[in-house]
Amino acid sequence: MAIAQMKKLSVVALQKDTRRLIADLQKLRCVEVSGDLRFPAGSDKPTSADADVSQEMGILLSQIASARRAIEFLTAYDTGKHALFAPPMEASIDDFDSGLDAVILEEVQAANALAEQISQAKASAARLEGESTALQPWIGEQLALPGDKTAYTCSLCGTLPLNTDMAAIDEKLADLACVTREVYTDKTVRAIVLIAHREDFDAARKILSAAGFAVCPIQASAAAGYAAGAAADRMLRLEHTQKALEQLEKSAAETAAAQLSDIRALYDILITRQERLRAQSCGLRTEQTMLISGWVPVQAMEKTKALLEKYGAAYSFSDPSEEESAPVLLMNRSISRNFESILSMYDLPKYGRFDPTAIMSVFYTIIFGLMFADVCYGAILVIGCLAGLRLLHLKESMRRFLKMFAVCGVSCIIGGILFGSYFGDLPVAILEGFGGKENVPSTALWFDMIEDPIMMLLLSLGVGAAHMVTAFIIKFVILVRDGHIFDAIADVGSWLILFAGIGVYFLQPTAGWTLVGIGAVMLICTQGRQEKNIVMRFLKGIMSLYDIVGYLSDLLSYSRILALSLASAVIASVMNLLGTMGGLNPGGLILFVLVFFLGHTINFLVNVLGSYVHTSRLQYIEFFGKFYEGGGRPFTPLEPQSKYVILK
Amino acid sequence: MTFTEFLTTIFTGQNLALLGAAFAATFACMGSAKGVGIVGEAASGMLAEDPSKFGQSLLLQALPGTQGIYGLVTAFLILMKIGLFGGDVTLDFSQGMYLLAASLPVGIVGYFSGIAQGRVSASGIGLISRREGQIAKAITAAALVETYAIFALLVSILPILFFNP
Repeated sequence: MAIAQMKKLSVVALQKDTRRLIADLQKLRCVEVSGDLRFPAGSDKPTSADADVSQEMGILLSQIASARRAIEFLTAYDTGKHALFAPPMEASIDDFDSGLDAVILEEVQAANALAEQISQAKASAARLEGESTALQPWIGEQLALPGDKTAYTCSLCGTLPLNTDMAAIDEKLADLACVTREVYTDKTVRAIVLIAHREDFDAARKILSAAGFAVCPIQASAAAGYAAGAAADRMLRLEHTQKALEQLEKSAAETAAAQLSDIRALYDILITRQERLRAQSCGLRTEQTMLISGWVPVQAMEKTKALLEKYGAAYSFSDPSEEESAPVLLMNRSISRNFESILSMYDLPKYGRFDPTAIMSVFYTIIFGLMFADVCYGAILVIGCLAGLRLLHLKESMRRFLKMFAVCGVSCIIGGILFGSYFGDLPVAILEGFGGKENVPSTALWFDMIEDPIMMLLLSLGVGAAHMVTAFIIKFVILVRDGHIFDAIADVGSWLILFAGIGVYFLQPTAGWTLVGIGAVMLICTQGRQEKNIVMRFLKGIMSLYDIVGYLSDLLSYSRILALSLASAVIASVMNLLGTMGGLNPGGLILFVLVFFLGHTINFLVNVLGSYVHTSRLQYIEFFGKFYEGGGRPFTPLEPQSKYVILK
Repeated sequence: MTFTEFLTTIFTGQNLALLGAAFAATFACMGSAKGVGIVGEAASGMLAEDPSKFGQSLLLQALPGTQGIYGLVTAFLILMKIGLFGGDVTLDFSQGMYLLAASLPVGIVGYFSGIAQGRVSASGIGLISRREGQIAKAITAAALVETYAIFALLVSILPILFFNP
């Protein structure tokens, strides 16, 4: 029903046992190893994490990297159908620790080698394809690429940019013993052959180079059959490469089907080992012993003791001191534990302080149910969440999240009965639209919020007032518990009296005014008590009354309950109205079914999101803002890491 | 037809109310479209780096979409009151003006708050892309902007709900 009490654990174990001890502690999942150990000054030769731990860490990291590479590679080739509701694979840590890891590491290496082969084959296929494309324009030419020599002439093939001024080049080449011939042009380049006398070749080449001449990058000799022969050769080699690639990819798919799940399990094991090593490097060692410290929740003390005694380790449990920041583990009972995620998304409470989850979960459920009051939507929410819990194999945090929505769904159903909302006003809409009846009475048990929005507004603000007063009472209790009784009465009690006065005013105006007066006088007298100057004290006291504006705007913020519930009810009734407009005939029924499914699906999704966001916001700002002491550090026990499989 | 007659045929109560419905839906939806768009742009940048955050980014992207829904709610309520979906209603000039005036808050505030909320959500995308587990803070920051759209919605629809021609 609050924050778990933590004990500081100190263990001295034999050096030779530490590995197995840490592995077993990890399986226990209830010890957080902390790294704030210091040997007392002057003690003998303390060494912390030493060379072989960091060397081992290096090896582990490279294994993790290659396993991750293999997983990425094989996932791309994994074509096997996975059943949607299949439970995740389980793997035994002990199996991996006793030899299975080496076998699978070999599989990882084989998979990575295969990946390397495939990428090489792909690269060479791309190269061959590029070369054969580049050869295509030259195929008709009986020329050696990129150039050839005879007794008196040299030739060179290549391309010029398309926008080259050929006339200018011809003019420059005019004095030299050479000819140029255009072979082809495409959208970007103009390919030409230069044939020149040996003596003038270099000069002619220089002129062309200055104009941006690029020598043909591919070689094709006369022996190879010029461009045509070279292109045919490339095509042949491409075909072979592609066949080889096909084989490789087939074997990759086979490897993926056979080994991917093992490699994934290995990955989890490696990460789990990394955690162990990290824990080990937090400890301090002497020649024969290892000192580890950590945090254990009181509830888990017994099983931790049993384990430590099995190893013959010396240990002690102590209470956390003030300056040590003990980690926070929320422990709430049955239903309210599902709302812990709302709290931890905001901020964890400080260790040893108040955990408001239980009180918050009550208000959360009520406000959610008011915002999204509809019997059918609520039922869909409940059924959807229960189906998800039953069919999907979710992690514990996600399961709790769904359970929370299921609880809220029940609240929506209750709200829907009170305000007569069944898919909005579907029963009324059907009777009026299809049945031709008029002025069908509302189905509301209490009142219909579209007909009487002011009543709904008052209800929203009433819930808000209760929520805020609860926050003040919590603050009051916290102050009293800490021994600040005067602060509690002055800072919180006076406001509570003032609020009570406002409430009483509606029943008995005189008594109400009196209470408001008492509260106000208390505030004026006490709120300036830090000031030394008597005038400043008085002014500060008066100024504090101004806070009522802030509280009023907090209260008005709860009118969002009305706005969101009206929005969902109005949209639903518009959908019902549009759906029943076609009348009771085949066409009209088709229209009804279409509008019904589309409209209500959208309305449902938008309002679940809206209610979740705004209910949370009311907790965070209007509720927590008044008393919450955050800043807690979450309890992160040493435990097996499971991304892909469940480690046992 | 005199000019006065021309004016009275155009500015009928019915038409003014219709103008109100159009105003509420148009501007609130424009604000939402812009807001959702801004978040979408920011989200794509983050998803290129880390596609696994799609769910969270979708949550943030959906937030500025509510202004459009509020505009739609207001528009539909007006359309129902003026008998577009059945019922025999004729409105005089002042009744039309009444409904037009009621549509102003949700249209104007919807437009600006939709964009503002989009910008807050987009910076929230920046927050969740850099730090894990901060989605609640990003959502809360965006929900603070929405408060004012909600107040505007209330001021728009309460007069409409109390309107009885």
